[in-house]
Amino acid sequence: MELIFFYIFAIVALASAIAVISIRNPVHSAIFLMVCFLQVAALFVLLRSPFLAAVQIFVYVGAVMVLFLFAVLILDLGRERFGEYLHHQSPIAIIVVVGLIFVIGLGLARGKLDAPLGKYTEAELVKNIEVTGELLYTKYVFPFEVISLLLLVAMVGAIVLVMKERK
Amino acid sequence: MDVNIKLFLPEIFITLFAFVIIGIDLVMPKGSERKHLARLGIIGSLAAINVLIINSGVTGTTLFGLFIQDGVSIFFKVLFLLTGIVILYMAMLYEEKVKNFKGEFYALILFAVLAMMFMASSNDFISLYVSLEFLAVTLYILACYTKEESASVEAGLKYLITGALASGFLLYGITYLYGATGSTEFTSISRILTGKEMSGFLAIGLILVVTGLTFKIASIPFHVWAPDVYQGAPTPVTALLAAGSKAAGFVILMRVMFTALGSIKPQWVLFISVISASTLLLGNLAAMPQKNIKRMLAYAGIGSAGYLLMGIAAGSVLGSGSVMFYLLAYLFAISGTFLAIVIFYNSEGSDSIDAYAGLSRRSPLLAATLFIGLLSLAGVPPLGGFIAKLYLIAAVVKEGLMWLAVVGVLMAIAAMYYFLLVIKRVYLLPPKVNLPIKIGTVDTALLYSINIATLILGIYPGPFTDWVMEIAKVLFRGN
Repeated sequence: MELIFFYIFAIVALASAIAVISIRNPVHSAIFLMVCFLQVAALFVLLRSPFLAAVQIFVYVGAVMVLFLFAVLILDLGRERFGEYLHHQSPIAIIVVVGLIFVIGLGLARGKLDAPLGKYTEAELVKNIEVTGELLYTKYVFPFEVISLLLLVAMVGAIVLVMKERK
Repeated sequence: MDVNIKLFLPEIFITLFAFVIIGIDLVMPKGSERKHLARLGIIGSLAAINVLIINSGVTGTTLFGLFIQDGVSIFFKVLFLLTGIVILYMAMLYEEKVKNFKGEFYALILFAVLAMMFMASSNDFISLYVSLEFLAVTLYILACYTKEESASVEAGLKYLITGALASGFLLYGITYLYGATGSTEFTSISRILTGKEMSGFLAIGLILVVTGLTFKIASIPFHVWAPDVYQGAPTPVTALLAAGSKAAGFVILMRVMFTALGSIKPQWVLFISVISASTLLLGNLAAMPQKNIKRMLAYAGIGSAGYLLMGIAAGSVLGSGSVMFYLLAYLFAISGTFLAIVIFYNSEGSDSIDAYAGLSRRSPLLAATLFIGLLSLAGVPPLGGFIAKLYLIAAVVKEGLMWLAVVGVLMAIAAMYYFLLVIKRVYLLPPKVNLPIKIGTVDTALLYSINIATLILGIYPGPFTDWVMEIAKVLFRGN
């Protein structure tokens, strides 16, 4: 049962991801991106991480997508026009992608998962938020702090690149 | 809490100084000079180097094993801080070109140095990825800092798009390695992999992780960004990309390949050797027809990544020690050359190689700096670059990779050709205008000391090579 749902979510996620980059209308493309994010959230639920799923929906489907749609509407992008100039690259791109899929497929066919996975028991997984929160502030405090610096730099960057300093 | 503050004190220093620079910048009068902020950054970096040297005996892991301070990270942190000092000075000379937000320019350079220091200390794929992304975001912003110029914006955009793609490769690869080993920490991955067969998951993970990391070191297959970004970005940022970002890429590549995946070395040697050989060929052959000196140095930088990958392919103490020595020699050669380029640009407003004609008659010091810097990059005795290339070639010969050594030697000759073309212009052709180029006192002192450092590394390399070989042993302790 779980497997069937996994395949449904995975296939829809992949299909909508392909739609995002192949559809020329930016608004439609953004909506397909939303569909893709929702499927990923569903996959998190299947992986017993309801907290991550909720965060995925709040942050990506909610905040990021709304901002993105606003940007699309305000900038009035319309149909993008530079697509047609890149056609001569498509044969090489197809070769590279097919080669990559072949290599990954070969590896997957030969591979086996022998690592001890899922060290958390069902009882612990019920306390999803507590486990995540505790890990963030204890074991993963170093990456957490680095990310806070990264966000600061990103904010400085957004101001520096967009605003004009008043003289 | 597992916290030993002595191990990451230098990082705290740099963070504080970066914040202070942003803070002071707020209260300074609008549109005024911000050169004092750069001096503040230089003082901060010097203080951090001092702290590093005083505490160099204190090693170990902290922050729950995600942060490691050992000989290798101390070596690279000193290297990054030295790079930061030179870049901040270069940015000071370049300040007039930066129209908006001059103070933040210096702060961002310090943040980039901080990110590289985090990379040198990462002992886990999670801290590796996060600090790598921190550096990437900082460099995306710096690359398009002079946004009035379309070349700079183009540089930033190209860097961002290739960087995002490479990040995807790296993350996807990390998930496979995690799937195959059940751990993200380097030493425990190595422990789990000891005596194991190469499985399919491991192979995909390895290929994708290495492919993702080639973006940082600018080698095949993610080298395409280098020429446009080097040419378009502000020159101090180009120097930061060339000297700092490349070294940061190599420190994590060494940690991943030697500490984490060292026990399956026979399986990846061929893969790395092929990347190394193709990068050597492409970088050095494509550098020949270039007309812009920053673009030529970009291709030469791709070629250098090929040489450094030889050291990774060797996978021995000798190999990784020579990588560190090469990066040390490379830092001095690159920073001297770029300092000369910035000074020349400030006076002439051009980066084209033709404009350098007759430089020796206009400014003997700049000409001599280019002479020493470029010939060290090419690997001419008695300069630092020669010893570095010699050690790298010796390392691969010792591991039985004769064909790679042959490619390396042939491409060193190719490199000699295109660097000598520049030097011919500088020394033999007549100048178009005969005005001398003015160089400040501090610039002169800095140029002299960088040149002397390159010469010392070439003439008396003994203590330095012994030192790096001793440090390199740390990487192999896990196996």
